Amino acid sequence: MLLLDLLLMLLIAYGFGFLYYGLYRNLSARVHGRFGPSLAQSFSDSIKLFVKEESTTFGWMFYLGPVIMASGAVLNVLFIPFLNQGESLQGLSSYGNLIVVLYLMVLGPLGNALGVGSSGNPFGVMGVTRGLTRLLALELPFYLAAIGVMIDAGSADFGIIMQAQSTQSNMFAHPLLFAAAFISFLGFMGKSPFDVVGAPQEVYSGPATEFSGKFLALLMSQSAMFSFAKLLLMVNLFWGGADHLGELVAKTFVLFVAATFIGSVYARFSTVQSVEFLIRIPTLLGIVGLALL
Amino acid sequence: MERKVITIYHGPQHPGITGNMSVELDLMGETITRARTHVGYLHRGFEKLIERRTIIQAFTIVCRICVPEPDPNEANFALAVERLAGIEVSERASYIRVMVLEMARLGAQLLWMAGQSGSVGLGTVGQWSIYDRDLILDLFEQLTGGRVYHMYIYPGGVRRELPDGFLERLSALLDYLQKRLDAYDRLFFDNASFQKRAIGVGVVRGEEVLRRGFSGQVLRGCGFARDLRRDNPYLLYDQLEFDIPTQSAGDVYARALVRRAEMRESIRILRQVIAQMPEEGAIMQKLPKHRKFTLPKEDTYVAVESARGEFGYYMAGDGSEMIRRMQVKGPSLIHAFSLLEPLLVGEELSNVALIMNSLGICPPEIER
Amino acid sequence: MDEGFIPYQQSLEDEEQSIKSTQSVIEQAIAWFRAHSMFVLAYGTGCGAIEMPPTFTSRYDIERLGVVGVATPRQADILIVSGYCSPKTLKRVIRSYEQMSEPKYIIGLGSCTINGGMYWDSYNTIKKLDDFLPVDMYVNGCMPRPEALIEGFVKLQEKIRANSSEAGYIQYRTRYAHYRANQERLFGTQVQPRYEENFAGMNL
Repeated sequence: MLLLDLLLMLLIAYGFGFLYYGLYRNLSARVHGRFGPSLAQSFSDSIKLFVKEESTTFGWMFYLGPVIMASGAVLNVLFIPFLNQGESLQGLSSYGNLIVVLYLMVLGPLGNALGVGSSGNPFGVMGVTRGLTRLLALELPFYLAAIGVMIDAGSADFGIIMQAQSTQSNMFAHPLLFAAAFISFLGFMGKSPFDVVGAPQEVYSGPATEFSGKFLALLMSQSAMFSFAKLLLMVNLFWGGADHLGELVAKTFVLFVAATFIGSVYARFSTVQSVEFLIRIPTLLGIVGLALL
Repeated sequence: MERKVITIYHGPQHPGITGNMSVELDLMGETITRARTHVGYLHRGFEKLIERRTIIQAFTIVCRICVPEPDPNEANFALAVERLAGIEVSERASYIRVMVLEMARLGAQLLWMAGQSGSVGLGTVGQWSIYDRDLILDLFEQLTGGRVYHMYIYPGGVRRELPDGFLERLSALLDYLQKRLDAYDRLFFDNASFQKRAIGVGVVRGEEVLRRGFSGQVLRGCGFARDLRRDNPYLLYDQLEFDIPTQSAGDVYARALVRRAEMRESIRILRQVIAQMPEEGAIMQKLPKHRKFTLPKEDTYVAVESARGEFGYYMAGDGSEMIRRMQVKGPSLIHAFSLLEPLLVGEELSNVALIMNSLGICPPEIER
Repeated sequence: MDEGFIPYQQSLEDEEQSIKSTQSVIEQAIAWFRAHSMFVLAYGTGCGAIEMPPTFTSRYDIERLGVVGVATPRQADILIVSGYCSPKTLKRVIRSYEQMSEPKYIIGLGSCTINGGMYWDSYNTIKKLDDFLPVDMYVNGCMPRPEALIEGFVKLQEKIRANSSEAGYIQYRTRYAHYRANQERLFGTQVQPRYEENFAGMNL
């Protein structure tokens, strides 16, 4: 039964991940004043990449990189409960807690670093360096917010954190913590102004520069699932989770649309600027929020 | 510990380059320690091709020298031939030429805005501004039959009469663009994240810039009000009212602000042209048959102010119907070598595209 | 063949039927996905690059067809050679093309790729791109309008769905000696590594 549940969770994450990525392309196209591709376009893209006849490799480490990233994303999805009640769609959340999830979020970038390093492409290495530098700055405010939430609920368990929000969600109870986490969440989602990792005008596609065919498809799939996991995490920590699947979709959708619209009207910071910004403003917000607890 | 220097090519296949050219960068981390510009990817040998072409044949290819803004080439060519052959152009034709040049300038500025905003990852501005540029191209298509290459300004005048109601449509478009420019101010020029990226980057300063032959927004962005339309008036620019916007900071943001003001000035000039243009009048002088259209054994230099700076042609005739020699001096050549190379040293890799776009470097015009 | 819209439509449908009859369902599905997801390499080789921004942005919005620009050759399916090629550019174009993973297609944009166009007597441009690289679709004109480029993409979609052995990348493998000889004739001693040597040490 658990296995079936896990499979269902993965399917939902995969489907909604791609749907949201298609939605992202559609919504930003509307901001641009055009129609944009169909919702299933990114799904077609990934299928096409999987059936490419060639994929250039640079040894077995190059294979491992995307696989490690994908496993990070899969584990992330499995350890975050989708709903705040009932038995189904809880995944492995009874075996792990928020700390495990926060730890697993770092796995992807590390796997990426391994894979990209073996290709020897300077732009890829530069992208990875940028990513890891930014990750350090992103984690600081996000961890502060997560610690605040954990202190408030008195536990690191997702169920208890969500139960503690049954009367008032953390977004309104601790707005400063939410602001800190949301800014850092924009960075995790790779939105402007923090999209320094794969900045095409600077470092081609950054880490993905040498990835082709099925490797790129794997990267796309994992990033779609990973972004759904991040949406879930935000919903669970600050919006009190969801009672049923419909509410989950509605909440993640609102969060996603907000992130998309914010991302399409800001210019990209340089790496140093984004680190400075993240260390100053959201971190400060997080510290003040912690002090007010 | 000694840090390793790696050498990378920024271009020619790179989304952050302004065309088919490349910049060789020595990087320490992400800081540039040395930059060298490489060109030659687009050399077509225009100056040689023109030596074995008659005037009407050469006329069809000069516009292809600079792709984003072809009309200064046609104007230069026509002005040089007219000066050598002693042809006077009617007032109405001159007004139409000013109109075409200013429309082209406006289009080039909108295209620049797409490149500049794209270089900092603000794609929305580019999507909007290229749409607005397309509306200008639509008018060009009504006027000349071509979207990008117009082949319209011919020695002796212009090739076609204005279509019916053209000036009204142009006037309506100007109203629309005026409104759009406010939207661009909000989204792009006053955007805090763009200001954060652009202020203090790529600073050009000092008296030295005058000696080194820079022109256009580079000069106006560091406080020198140099503009050929004012300093060395051609066509009817001495009869039109317009300001030369300047900024003093000399950085990327200052050049962006100069361009922002220039777009408004272009609109102002176009409105004056619409108001003052004579209703009637010849648009083309009587020219000799094209095999008998010869240039005397003299030479001349003409220059117009393009959207990026001084655009000059040197032309020499030898008494035959061919052009003996034609040399092109665009602003990009100087900017891409003697300005870009020192400017990039010490900058971050992420600022390369930003600076290149802000200098308005256009590779086809560097190499002809 | 009869002129007019209805016979033309009929001929297109016949063509579609004949494509379907020769392919299995899975092959058809794969070809459909390939035709509806085309990643274009962002490399503006010549003046044709000036009509690419309008094609890709809000006026003409080619992303409706699944056409997206990507930054690196590894990820790209389609290389648009936009206009004239000087030998120096052609070298980079060939390198970029060889780094792309199969199946891959080339669109030659502008008259200059067909016969030299405006630069038919220039000493520094190649006159016929097809001598050096297999071109799948030509879009003629100087400049080709964005509509023409979109038409080229639609025709290329049909060609991809037909999945024939005429496709450029198969030609490039099977007739490599021909292309290589032409490249060597142009570049002289400064030739680049052979196609196979690009992948030396990598398991394909």
